[in-house]
Amino acid sequence: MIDRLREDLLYLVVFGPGYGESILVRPPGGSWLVVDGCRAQGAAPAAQLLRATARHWSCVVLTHPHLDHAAGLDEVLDCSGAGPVGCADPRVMEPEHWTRSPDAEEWLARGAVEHVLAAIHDRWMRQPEHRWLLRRGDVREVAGMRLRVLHPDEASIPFRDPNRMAAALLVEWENVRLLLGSDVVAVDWEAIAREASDLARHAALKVPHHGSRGAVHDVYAGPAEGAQERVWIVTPYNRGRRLPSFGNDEGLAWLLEREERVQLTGLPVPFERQASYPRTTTLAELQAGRVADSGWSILPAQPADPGCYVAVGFDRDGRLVDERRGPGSVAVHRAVEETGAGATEGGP
Amino acid sequence: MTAPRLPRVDDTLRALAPEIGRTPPGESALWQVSGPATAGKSALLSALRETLSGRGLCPVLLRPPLASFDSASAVLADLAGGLHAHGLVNGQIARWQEPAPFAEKLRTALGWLEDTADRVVLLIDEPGRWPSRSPEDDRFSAHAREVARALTGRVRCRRVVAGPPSEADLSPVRVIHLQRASEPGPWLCDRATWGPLADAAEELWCRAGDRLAPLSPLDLRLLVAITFVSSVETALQALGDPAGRRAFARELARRLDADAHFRPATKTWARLALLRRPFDEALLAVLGATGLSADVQAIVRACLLYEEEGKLVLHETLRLDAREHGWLGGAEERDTHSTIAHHYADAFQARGSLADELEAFFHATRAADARLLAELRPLLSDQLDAMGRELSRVNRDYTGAVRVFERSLEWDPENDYAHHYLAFNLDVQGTEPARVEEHYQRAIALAPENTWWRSRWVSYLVTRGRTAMARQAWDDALDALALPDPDASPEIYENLHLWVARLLIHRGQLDFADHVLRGIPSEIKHRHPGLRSLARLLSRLIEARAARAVFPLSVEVARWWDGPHLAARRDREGRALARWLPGRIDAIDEGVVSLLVAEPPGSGGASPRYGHIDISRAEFDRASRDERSEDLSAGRFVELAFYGDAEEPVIRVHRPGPFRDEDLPPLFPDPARYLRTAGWVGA
Repeated sequence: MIDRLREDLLYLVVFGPGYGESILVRPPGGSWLVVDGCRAQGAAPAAQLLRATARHWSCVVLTHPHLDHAAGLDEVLDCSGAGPVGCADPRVMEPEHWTRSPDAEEWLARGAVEHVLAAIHDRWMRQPEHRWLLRRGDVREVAGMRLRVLHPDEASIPFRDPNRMAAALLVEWENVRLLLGSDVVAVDWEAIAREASDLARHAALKVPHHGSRGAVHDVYAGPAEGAQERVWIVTPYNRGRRLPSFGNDEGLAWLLEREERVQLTGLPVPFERQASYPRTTTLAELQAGRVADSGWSILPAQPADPGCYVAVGFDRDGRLVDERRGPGSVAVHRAVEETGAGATEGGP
Repeated sequence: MTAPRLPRVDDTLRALAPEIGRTPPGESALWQVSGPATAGKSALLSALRETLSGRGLCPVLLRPPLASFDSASAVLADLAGGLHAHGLVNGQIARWQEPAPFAEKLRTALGWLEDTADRVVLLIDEPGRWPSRSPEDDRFSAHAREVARALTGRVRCRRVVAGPPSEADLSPVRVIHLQRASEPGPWLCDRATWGPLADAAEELWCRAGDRLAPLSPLDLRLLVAITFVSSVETALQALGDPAGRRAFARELARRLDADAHFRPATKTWARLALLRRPFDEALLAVLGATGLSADVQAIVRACLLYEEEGKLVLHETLRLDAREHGWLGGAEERDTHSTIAHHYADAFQARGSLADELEAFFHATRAADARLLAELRPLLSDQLDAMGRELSRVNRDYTGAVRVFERSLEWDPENDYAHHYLAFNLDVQGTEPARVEEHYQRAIALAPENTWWRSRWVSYLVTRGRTAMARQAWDDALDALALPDPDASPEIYENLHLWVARLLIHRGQLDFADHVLRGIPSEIKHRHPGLRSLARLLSRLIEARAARAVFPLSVEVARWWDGPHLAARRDREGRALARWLPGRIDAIDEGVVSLLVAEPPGSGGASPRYGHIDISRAEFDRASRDERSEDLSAGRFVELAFYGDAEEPVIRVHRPGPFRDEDLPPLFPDPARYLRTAGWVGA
């Protein structure tokens, strides 16, 4: 677990997977903003971090009620904390539709979303002053940070696809700007850009929608004037249609054309197959050593407990001062020569 | 028909009535009448009422409906009505009927008895059977027991108790034992008594003779009916059955049911069984008995019913038999209750009898007839509580039930039952959570050891997503109930653990659910199908959490490794199965199918080995004997079978049928109710 965080820095911590993604932001001396949840083998890393750092949360946000964003957020809400509880699209599936599923994983995931939404609803009922239905233009001051909702707006409401209703946030503290893209897709970034300019100027970006090709956009990934190093973090999606894809026409390649390094909190493979150490590699290496196609031999599950996180600390001018990477995480560089390693490196 | 009074009843009456008259009142002035069912205990009390009235005493017969939620109310109604009939509580009854807690009403009634102890003789029928046996009626049963204890043990007036004297620890002046005995000959041969059944009665007597002597009048009536409906041979065969009266009643029911001509008698029997008090001809007509053919009507009047003090009575044991046969459907039963309720309500309007009003209230409650109930006055808040329960359970009129429990709390603000069910009926609707919490917690404060109060509170907290609080409430519940306790009643675990675990499993709170289920003694867990089912489902979800879900839920855990489940033992070329792997599709993208698979455990207790296989979609499609990869999605289950020395397997795909486990306890209330109320539940 991440420890000994510096008190003078603002930290952005991104977990994922297990299953899902969870983002935490803590300004110097402040309490945590928690955006979305994930679980790894039953544990909620966000809640573990709150307990480990003995800090409260000051704001909790569920960007959208997808299974890979909600899991474990109930445990966060149960931790010590008070403040706004935000949700953009509070909606669960009719329980009758999934309580006959033959797939135990679906029971787990749907039940967890219902539990998280129940916890949010409960908070909203008991503490109406902390009810925050996220809509474009909303601004809240939380723990000395300024949280601005970029998406969705009222026009998004007819969409039945939760990704179209997902909440993108801009977090500002001093000269630090963090863009948390949730699962917002490209078409909505164009709408966001009409309301919010200069999104490419940021210290860190949680890349939208696991770096899928349909979510990357120059609105936030284009060149920024006088920019310092930007930290781009992708959380992988390791169920169903896995993301990010490593092809030359896919989102990760597109991102690496614009920034020389992209951090992955893990590979798009099951949690049990994540590496037990942080790695540095290139897109070409990823393409060459695809995890896919093992033939008919069994790839054994790793007994280790990968952390699958990236934590970065910024000073008040937005300079990257501290960087921690958990086991399983992968720093992907644009090209071999830029890694200075010549090949995939790392190791326990 | 009037039953012949048993000889021992007459003998006992002659000795007992003067003895009661001579004995001064006092706590020890207590007589106990014991004996088997149908020995005439109740008949003796009825006879005493008549005889003692003639001796200047004021006998009050307390014969409430047995084992009912409103037994305590009925006893107090009998008591107040009896004293009023003797002119002993003039002017006090109306005030006594005003809303007040149970304890206060009982105290007032005991005060009346204290003031009139010199003249009053209480004739107390079967007080040990007043409390309901249903665990759901605990609260009402406690009141019935308290009334029974008070009236048999703590009052100064003379008392005659039929059956065991409840839980009183006083010694009776005398215990009178009644035995079954009758002189059936003259009675069976009295043709006027039996009407159309006279030949059958006479034939029974001629063929059975002295074998009938040990039987009760009820036994004899049943045998006459069997003879009439079937034959004397059938009656004699039943007579030889060691089960006795139960066998007679069962045989009669079977014969009536089997014959289209006589079958209407069973419906009438079932309707009459809903009555709890002796009734009049008018009610018999209302329930349709007078419309039956003459011979069927004769069976009802001469064999099922008997007459006592001018009223008709269906013996208690026949009442219970009728329930078991289930001759009335649910709607028909409610309609009959409604008919009876209106009859009693009219009778109350005409006569003003507390007992009539109480019966009207009871039957309107069973009919969940909210309109009639609103016009009637309860005597105790128990009646309101039961009414709220029926509205909630039968009509699903949760709003109506809330109003009733609010009314009940006006009577008794310390009524934990009303507090709890006020909360529950709001909770079911997913509304007013602040009130839900207030009343759930108040109920627990008033009755900390009630398992239901604890169970619903913990479940409420889980429903609201407050897991940490729910854990604390769970620990509090275990402390209050001193659990785990290997000697605790299994009901505790069924009421508390089962429902909490069910909801936790639904919400994916697996560690908490595991903790709850582990608190149940294994013997109880293994015996209870619902608990077994929960344990099974939990183990499957825990496997899924650990990324080990390689079987659909439809494959039982015990059969997991007893495979293959889909693949054949030999392939098309006749090669034998060498190896098989169950699996789940973890991911599918443009090029790759990723499978979570398990290598089955070998012999000797080894564990299965889990891992992943990533193959191209082309490989998958080549191997699949069922669907192609383009038609599949993550979450589908497969089986890989390797034959002979082939390197490529055959893939079979489980059909995506729904999971059903009939033993799985239902989810009630709807776990998404608050979200539904908020409009958060989508398709």
